[in-house]
Amino acid sequence: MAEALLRIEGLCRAFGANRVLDRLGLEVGEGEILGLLGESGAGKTTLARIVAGLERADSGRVLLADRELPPLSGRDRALCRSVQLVFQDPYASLSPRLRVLDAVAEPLRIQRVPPPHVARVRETLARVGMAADTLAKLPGELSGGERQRVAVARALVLEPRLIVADEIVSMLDSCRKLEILDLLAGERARLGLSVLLVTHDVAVAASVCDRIAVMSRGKIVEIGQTARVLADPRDPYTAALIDAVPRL
Amino acid sequence: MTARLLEVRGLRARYRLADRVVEAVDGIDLSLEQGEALGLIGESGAGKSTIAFSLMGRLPPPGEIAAGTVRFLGRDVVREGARLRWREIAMVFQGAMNAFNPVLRLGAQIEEVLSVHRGLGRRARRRRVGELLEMVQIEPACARAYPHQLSGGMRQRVMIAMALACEPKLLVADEPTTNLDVITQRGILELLRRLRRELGVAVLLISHDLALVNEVCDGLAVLAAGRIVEAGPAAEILARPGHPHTRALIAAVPRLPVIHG
Amino acid sequence: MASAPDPPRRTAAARALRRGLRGAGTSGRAGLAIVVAFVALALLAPLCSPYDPRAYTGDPLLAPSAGHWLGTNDLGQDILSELLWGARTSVAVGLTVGLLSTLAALYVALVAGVHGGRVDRALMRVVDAFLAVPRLPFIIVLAAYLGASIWNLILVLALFSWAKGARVIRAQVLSLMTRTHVEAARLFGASRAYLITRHILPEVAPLAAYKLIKTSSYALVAEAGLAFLGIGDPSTKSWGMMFYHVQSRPEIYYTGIWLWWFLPPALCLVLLVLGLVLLQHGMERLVDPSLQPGGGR
Repeated sequence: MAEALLRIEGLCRAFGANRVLDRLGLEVGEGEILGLLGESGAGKTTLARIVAGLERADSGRVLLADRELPPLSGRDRALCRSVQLVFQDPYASLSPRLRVLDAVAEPLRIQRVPPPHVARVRETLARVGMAADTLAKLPGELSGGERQRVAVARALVLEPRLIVADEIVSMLDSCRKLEILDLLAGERARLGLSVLLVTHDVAVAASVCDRIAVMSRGKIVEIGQTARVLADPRDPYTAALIDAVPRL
Repeated sequence: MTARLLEVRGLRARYRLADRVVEAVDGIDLSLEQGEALGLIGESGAGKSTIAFSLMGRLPPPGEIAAGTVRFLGRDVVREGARLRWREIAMVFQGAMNAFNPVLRLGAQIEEVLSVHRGLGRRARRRRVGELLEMVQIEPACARAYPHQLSGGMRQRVMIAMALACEPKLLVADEPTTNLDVITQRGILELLRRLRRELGVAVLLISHDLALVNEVCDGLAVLAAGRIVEAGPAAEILARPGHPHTRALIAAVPRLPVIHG
Repeated sequence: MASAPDPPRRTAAARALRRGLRGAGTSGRAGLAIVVAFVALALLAPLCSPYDPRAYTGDPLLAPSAGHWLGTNDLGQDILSELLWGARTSVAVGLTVGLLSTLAALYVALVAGVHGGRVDRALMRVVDAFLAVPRLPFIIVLAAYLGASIWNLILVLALFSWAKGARVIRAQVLSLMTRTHVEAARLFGASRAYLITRHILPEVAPLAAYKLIKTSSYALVAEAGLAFLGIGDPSTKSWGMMFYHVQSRPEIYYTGIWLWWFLPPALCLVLLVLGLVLLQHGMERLVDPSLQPGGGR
């Protein structure tokens, strides 16, 4: 079993009386794509945002390679490079004022990577399947699928160790979903990238994840190899999720 | 000979933007019989929502219907739209669950539809709201709730109840389950199937998800770049897809094992 | 082919200006024209004005003539020259108050909105204090206490007009901080300064400009009003001081003197304020695309 890159221990988060995360524990291995499945609700996204540092948990801890991950304000530049988040909404995650080149180069600028950045941006965009002529375009000129690719490129340009993908394909058409997911799988093979794929869609998890973890009421109710979980779910909630998928 | 429920011939619709004109729908034919369910499949930008609005007889500006006819039981929808809208043809828009007025209770919003289109008195309205909510399997007590107090899936059910308020013959549902999780989605699909069975209402279901549409509809029409590239009974099209676009859509559906019990 | 670099800043600014003028609409353009005309008048007053407004160039209370287009005031000074030099003072006061007030509001709003938490709360308590104070009485008392110099007036007016702008701009800053692309920038390790300059300021600038114009027009009328009440700087020539001197002469009630002594500065004030209001309308249209004709889709 690959060594755990990300370890989540006893994470708790409550909004008033609603316990969204209830002593949750999870591990993502080095170079692994782990799917986190569950209903639409605050739980999965809250977990994703806590790992990314945008929110803080009430208690518990998150460790990256045995080093504790504080919320964003406490992270140094190197730590910011290691963990990246790709958001759900391709229409909101790119600034409408920045052209593609500037949007993807932004992390490099913020991290004070010495210029020129153009070559690196172009290469990253090529890897996500975007042609060089899109460099000068504004997000308004791109489709949802194209914007999401740019968002993924932006997350990849710093070569992070872990990417948290928060429902990244749920706003895209069925055809586009597979393309983006294949992209991530390709980067995993290339960079040894680990991915925490948060989704409510069983089909999405099934298509690209090595392992699947199912979340319900703030806890992980099932976890295991994808094929096993789909063929032989041990938890009734998992079975309900799988059955609910429309089929041809 | 009785007229078809819905007959669309040569529909063309476009959007006049500041610097150019976008031809969104480029000559399509559609037909629907009473009680039938037709699925309109296509990617984003193929023109699905434009068609849905055209069926109501009016596109939001800067859209306009350029050519063609849309007939509902023989009546021209573009001319008589105001009389047909909501009473005979009702629509559940994309993201409708977010279209509720946040400061009015849900019951009041449904009652508004009833008083405008049906002219019902207060007691009759209350009773009808209770009936409608039961029909979509929502607790009648939720009529007193505000939109933000209900989950997305429940709000979508209330939206469907609102669309059915005047007992329309045709329900147009534009991406009714986007952004809802699988379990809630399954609930909405079951609801649509049951409503068809019990009320005999015809359904035009618009989506990019082929499997979803297959669960509810008998017939399919595949839309690409403003044109219908393939149409016919769902079973036939899925078994023997003719157009490469259809084949691509079928290939995009994941194969998952079926688990029983 | 090499990747397209960013277009040079100059042409981007020129394009933005042209877009701005187009989007502002007829009323906005008219407003801009009026305001620019008055600013030009104010700047060129030393060149255009026929006499030194402080010089006694004729008999007092003369009717308009070839030598004095608007006649003379009660001291024998040329009214037209007073009008032109008055424009200078009024425009300067209006713009300075607007600038000071908006800069203060912007600074406080940015610091409060971006830091959040305790800093935000503390700053908002200060803003609340300024908002709670009844403006007019305080301005009058303070101006009278500090002494009637033009700079005191500017200071006092600015002091009591920055707070509202701070609240409004902070609201937009808070909303921007929750935008996904701003969160993304934070994820890359962006400092607060970077977020402010790159993501927040460009979005907040139109609102700040709008507030600038609004506060300027307020200051314009306030200065005139205060001068009329006798709290102006008697050594300066402003439209307000002209009103003050006019109302102290009972002749205006039964002769035609008010036509050329009171009406011209009053019309100028009204016209300039109208120009600023039209400019505000133009800015609203620019900032909110739904106000454009056709729904701005």
